[in-house]
Amino acid sequence: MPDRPSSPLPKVTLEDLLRLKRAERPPPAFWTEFERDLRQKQLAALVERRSWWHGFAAVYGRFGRLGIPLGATAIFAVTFLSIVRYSQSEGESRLVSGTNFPTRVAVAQAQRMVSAQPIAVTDPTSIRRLDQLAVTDVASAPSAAVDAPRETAKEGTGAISWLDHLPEGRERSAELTVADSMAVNLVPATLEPALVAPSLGFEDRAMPAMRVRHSAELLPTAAAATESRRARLLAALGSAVTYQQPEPAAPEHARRSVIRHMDEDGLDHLNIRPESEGALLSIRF
Amino acid sequence: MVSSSVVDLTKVIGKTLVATPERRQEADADWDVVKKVQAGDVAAFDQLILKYRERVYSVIYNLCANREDAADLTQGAFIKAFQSINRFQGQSSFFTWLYRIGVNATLTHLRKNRLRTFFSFDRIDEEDKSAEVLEALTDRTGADRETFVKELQEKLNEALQKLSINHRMVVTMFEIDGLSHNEIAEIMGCSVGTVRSRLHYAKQLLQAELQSYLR
Repeated sequence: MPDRPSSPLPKVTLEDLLRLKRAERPPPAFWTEFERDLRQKQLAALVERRSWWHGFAAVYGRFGRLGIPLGATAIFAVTFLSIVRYSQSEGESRLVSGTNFPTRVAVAQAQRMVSAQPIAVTDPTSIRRLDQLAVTDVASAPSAAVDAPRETAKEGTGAISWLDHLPEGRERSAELTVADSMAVNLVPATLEPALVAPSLGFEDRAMPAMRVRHSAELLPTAAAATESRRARLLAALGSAVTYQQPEPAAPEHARRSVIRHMDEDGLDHLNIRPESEGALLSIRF
Repeated sequence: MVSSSVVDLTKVIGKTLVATPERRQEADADWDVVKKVQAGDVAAFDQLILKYRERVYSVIYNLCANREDAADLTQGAFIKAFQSINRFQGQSSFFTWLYRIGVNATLTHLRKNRLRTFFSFDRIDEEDKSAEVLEALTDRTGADRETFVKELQEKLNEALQKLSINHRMVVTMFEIDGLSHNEIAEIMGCSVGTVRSRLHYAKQLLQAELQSYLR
């Protein structure tokens, strides 16, 4: 058997193999069919009515390169606005809770309108923190029937010791009158009942004295009622208060009445709920 | 005034990316035809179809390894180019733009049909260099030529399909269609360095896959 001639075989590289792929070609008949199909599709594309959203797609495609920067800017703007809005709303909620409506003392407005005088200041010495409580006949306030001087409230009952905890610079006063607080409580409660609810929380019980004067300063801005509305409210208030109405000339009677309703355990959560046109108003000490 | 100068500048830059003078002439000639089509001469688009149909088909065919799919996708690419011809502003050469349309359509098709792969091959046109290579391979193995060529085609396509789409595109356009690195970079929207590195990596993988044929 003769040996095959040992001629060196040509080297086959990867490029040679890939060149074989280049040599893969369709037969000429393929192109005839291809052209026919293409012509049909081209005519169909000419006749085909394009959808209305193709216009948007074209516009978007034109601005497509700006898509990422615009998107990033939009996200940044939304985030920024959210933060700003959140901080504003947080500030407002702080203001609302800080004004502490249920224990609010209306200093400027209520006194100007009602010209009421505190007629009774109680001094429940058995009470731990609340040494003195002033109760004013609000019902008679508009008619200026309450004439008792403030000294009446102070004398015989001693100093209001819990007011000692007030920050320095704040006027120490025993003028925590129910007339004031009722009037002011009722105004915001009537204006915006939703504002009252969140303020009936822990803060009221924890630091009642700290907010007396402070809230009095903020209240005129919070309760922006018109003169007529104030008059209407106060008139309604006069008929609404159904609880302890001490005689103007009998502060001692009022003191006893209050003490009777206050036991030692319930002082911190004392609620006085007068009805005012069907609405409940809470006063917490 | 400013915008028109910017457009001119981008045209210049786009055309300088087409490195060879032949390509530049080709791009200029294509741009003239495109302007005709944009002016309303629809029949002028046939010149572009006749000129590029085989090259576009070749790229798509080598990417998807299915002649029927390749034919459909090539037709779709021409239709889309025809519909969008008014948006072509000559910032790149027409064939680069057309290639990009075809390649994008193919990528979409491949992603949609990732799990469905049917091979159907065109015949190898045995002429010149390819005939020599086939001769050498069949002499070495001693196998029947027809059978061997079919087997080789399958192995080649299997090896290509094992590459990622990006690597397959680079190999196909550079080694099979003969495009330059710059052109491939322009079509794929990446840097020339990326094209080179992808090409190098893809060749390494193919070499490992087709080791038995490489002597």
